[in-house]
Amino acid sequence: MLNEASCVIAIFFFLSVHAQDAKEIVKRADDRAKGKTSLANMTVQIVRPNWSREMVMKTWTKGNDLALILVTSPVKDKGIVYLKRKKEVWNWVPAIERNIKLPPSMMSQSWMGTDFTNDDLVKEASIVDDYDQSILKDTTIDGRTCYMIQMLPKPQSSVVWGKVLLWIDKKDFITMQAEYYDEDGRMVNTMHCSDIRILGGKLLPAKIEMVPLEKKGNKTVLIYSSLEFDKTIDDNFFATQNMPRVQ
Amino acid sequence: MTEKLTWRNLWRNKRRTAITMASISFAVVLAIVIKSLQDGVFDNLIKNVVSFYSGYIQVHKKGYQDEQVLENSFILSDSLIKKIQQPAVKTIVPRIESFTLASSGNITKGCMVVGTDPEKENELTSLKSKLIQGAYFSKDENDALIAEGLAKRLSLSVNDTIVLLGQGYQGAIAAGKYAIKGVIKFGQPQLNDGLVYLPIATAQNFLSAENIATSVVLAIDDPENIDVIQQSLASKLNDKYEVMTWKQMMPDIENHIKADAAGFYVWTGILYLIIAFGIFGTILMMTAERKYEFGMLIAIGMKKIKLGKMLIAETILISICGTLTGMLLSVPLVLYLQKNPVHFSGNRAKAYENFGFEAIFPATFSGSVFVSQAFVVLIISLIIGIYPLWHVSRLDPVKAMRK
Amino acid sequence: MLIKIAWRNVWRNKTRSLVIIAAVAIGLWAGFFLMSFYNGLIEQRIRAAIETEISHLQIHHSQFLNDYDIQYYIPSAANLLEQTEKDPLIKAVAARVVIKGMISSASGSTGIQINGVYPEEEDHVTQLGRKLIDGNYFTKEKPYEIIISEKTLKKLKLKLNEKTILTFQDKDGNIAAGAFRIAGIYKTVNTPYDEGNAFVKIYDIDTLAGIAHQCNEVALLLQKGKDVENVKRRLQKEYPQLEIKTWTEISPEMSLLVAASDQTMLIYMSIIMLALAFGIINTMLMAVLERTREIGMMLALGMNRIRVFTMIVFETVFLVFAGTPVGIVLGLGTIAYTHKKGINLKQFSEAYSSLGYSSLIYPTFNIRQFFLMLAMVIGTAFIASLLPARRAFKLKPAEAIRQ
Repeated sequence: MLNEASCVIAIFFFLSVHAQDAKEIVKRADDRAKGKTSLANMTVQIVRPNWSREMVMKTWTKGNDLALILVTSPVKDKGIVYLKRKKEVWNWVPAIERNIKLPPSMMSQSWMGTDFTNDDLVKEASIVDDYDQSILKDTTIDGRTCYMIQMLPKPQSSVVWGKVLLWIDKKDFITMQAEYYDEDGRMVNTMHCSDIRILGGKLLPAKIEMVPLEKKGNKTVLIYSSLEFDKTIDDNFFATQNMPRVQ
Repeated sequence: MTEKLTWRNLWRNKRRTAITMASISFAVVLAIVIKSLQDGVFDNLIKNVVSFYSGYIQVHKKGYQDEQVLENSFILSDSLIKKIQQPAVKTIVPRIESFTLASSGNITKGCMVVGTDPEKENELTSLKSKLIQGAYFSKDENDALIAEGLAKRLSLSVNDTIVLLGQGYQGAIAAGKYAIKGVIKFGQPQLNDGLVYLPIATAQNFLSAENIATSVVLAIDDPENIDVIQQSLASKLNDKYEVMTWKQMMPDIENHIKADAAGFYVWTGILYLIIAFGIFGTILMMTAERKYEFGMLIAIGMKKIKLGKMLIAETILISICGTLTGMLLSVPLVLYLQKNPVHFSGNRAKAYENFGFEAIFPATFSGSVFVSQAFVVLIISLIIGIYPLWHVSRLDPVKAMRK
Repeated sequence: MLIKIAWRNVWRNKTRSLVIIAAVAIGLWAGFFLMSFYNGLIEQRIRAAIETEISHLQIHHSQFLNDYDIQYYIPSAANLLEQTEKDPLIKAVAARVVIKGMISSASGSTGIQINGVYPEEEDHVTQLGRKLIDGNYFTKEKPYEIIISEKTLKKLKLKLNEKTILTFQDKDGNIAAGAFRIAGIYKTVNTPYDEGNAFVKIYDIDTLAGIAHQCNEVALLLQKGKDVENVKRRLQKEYPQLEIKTWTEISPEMSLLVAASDQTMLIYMSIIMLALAFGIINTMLMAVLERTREIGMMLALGMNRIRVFTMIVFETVFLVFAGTPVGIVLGLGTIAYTHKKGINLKQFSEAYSSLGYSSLIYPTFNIRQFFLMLAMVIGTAFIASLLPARRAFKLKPAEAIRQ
């Protein structure tokens, strides 16, 4: 009887450790890509069947709650700033000299015409806390061995997905791929990361592709040209007053 | 021989013939007038609903009705307009519409920006008449018209600036500031709380959508022909476009109208009943009056069948004459009602006008109404004409002549 | 003496008299029935709207309806609820938290009005439970249940038991969100209503919104519709700072309907009366024609013309008075019967099945209309008698006898 009990306990322990592992893995991957603060230069490409567009941006982040995005190209959009503070998103547009806080009706609209929504800017920090993670198996993506992690949203989390699958590189904890499913098990979005190189002193993907499966021929590509981590950035930097001034 | 007799009979008893014919004519007039009024009310209802915003027919890029986003738009080319132009199409209004944020001070509200041709839009929806403050916008300027409800929520008025921010065409950011030229009021809250009008060129510039439109809205000359016109347009345009009537764009309203129409059948049925009674009474009296005459004819040897044939001829002749006369008399009456509709007054009128509806009871002048109603009355008369035949068939000449 | 003669004349020619009596009876029957039918139609629509959507009265904070701003919840709601629940004139009370926000799924999102309700009370006031076409009504145990319309379900590509995210601005202007599971799917005939409304339990949303244990809307369903103004006045006196609206104020379309119906009915009734009048005129004219000899004889025998005139008028009046009770009985009988059974308009138009005002109409009776109708018919008949009487008046005795 003691044997059985300890067996059960061992299995239980093992499982919970494993679950802990999954959460830890996801957290590690997430922290790695963010650092305490980050400053990135990137290009955003919007690809559509009939047209495409390219924008160049500078992005500052601090922790999970603060982020500022400045558009530097094309000329028409130069100077546009997005500010995220916790759950709020602000938008500064030089052409109208106005700073507008996005109401709930705008949150589900596309962000700058990409396949990301304004909501995604706010929500992406939640993958650690809003989900229950578990490791499914090991697979290989682009020659790298990865954990395949299943994330199921906690009952009260306000995420629309029924399930998210993540592929995280075992050695360097790089998120290689993600698949987003609705509750019917239908895959709605996929995200693929590639072009792994040294950015900001870490091995990270320089190219991230987001493909919405409902619309044929649509995708959004983020290309990082440079990244700097853990530079000191004051909280005041992430303020609405700073939006018109930031360079 | 029978015809001569028939004719002479009718002519000899002018009074009797006149009264009989009058009852039929009157029935025809009544039936035509009531149907013209019914049709008038329905057509007016549709006209009011349609001229709020949607127009009778719209041309979109295929798929726009299901997903009304800026990406589902098309190029407004001259060749497209030429294809749409037809004698039956009275007005062609190009529009570009997009969901946008409107902001003033600290308040931000979602709204619908409508870029349109100011003069043509007015022809279609009488937008000018809905102006309650300021002046109407013009295509040579960049000023906006704002709906009253939205103006209130944003605390904006004439000469203030409205800030618009949204998603433009093909991923561009749409951001602009516009002066408010005027405030318009709609009866429908959905429109009154959310519309901002801009001249179409200004809107296209705002959305970075040069020469693009999301819909072309059409006013047509004769609403009865709407389906024919739709077919003709659809065949001229290739399948990159969809051509939709208001019925397809607002199926609920169509159902509502159909349901109302059902109620009217009950009315009309009862009217026919009363009309039939009126005619019957007349024929009854006429037959009674001629009892002696019939008795005499049979007594001197006329076969009942022949008499019957003669009566049938009389009935047909009177019915047709009565019907025709009725139709002729109806023409000026219906024309008059069409040009000078009955007006509601008082509280009723106010309720209508608050809604943006005209408080009138109009009539439609339609050939088919004339023909169809006259036909019904004709049939009723002919059926009633069977009574004298039946009477004759049972006639005992001796008794009849005993008067 | 004249009266005696008139009376005897009436009975002498039974057929003619019967026709007129029948015409009057039918006119009255038609009039009563149509009015009651129309009453039933309107009443049914109004009742449907009140009992399933807007209720008789709605109470809000005076500022709430401007913008649906959550900070404007109803102060002293507990008092209000206690008082209204005890009021004998009030049948049911429902308190709600109403929020304008967004509802999303993996496939998209759309604007929605979130109605946080008390399940039982809501069902009493708007019959929410009965609107379900799939799934179940709210349970006590399961948290975060949501009931959405079939339209919304399809738009967001969701299924029963799947989750949806509600997003909105809370009392302090921050964005709040919550995950809710679809417990039930509802459908009404009012598509815009369906597209715009979702229901959750009030205690699942009030804290999220920042107004725990408060409500911002109270809807009242009364025992009797006519008490509306009365109850409104009483409550307004007691709570002067709250905004209390009647159903006509909440829904301008409804007041339009009510306003329009009276006028429309009057016009149709007039036309029916005209038909009746002519029927009577024609028949009596023909009758006078038939009696030319007899009348000529009377005149020749020295009867005063005026008396002849009056005699005809009396005859018509008798006939009308004979027909009236028949008409009343027929009319009331039909109304009583159809009132119990209801008339199903489905057979006239299948537009009804998609519409959902239930196609069942219960004609209802109205004393004021009854007397109006009676006056109209009798007046019409009387005036109708004048023309034939005049005809008789003008007869030349010598010619007349010779007929």
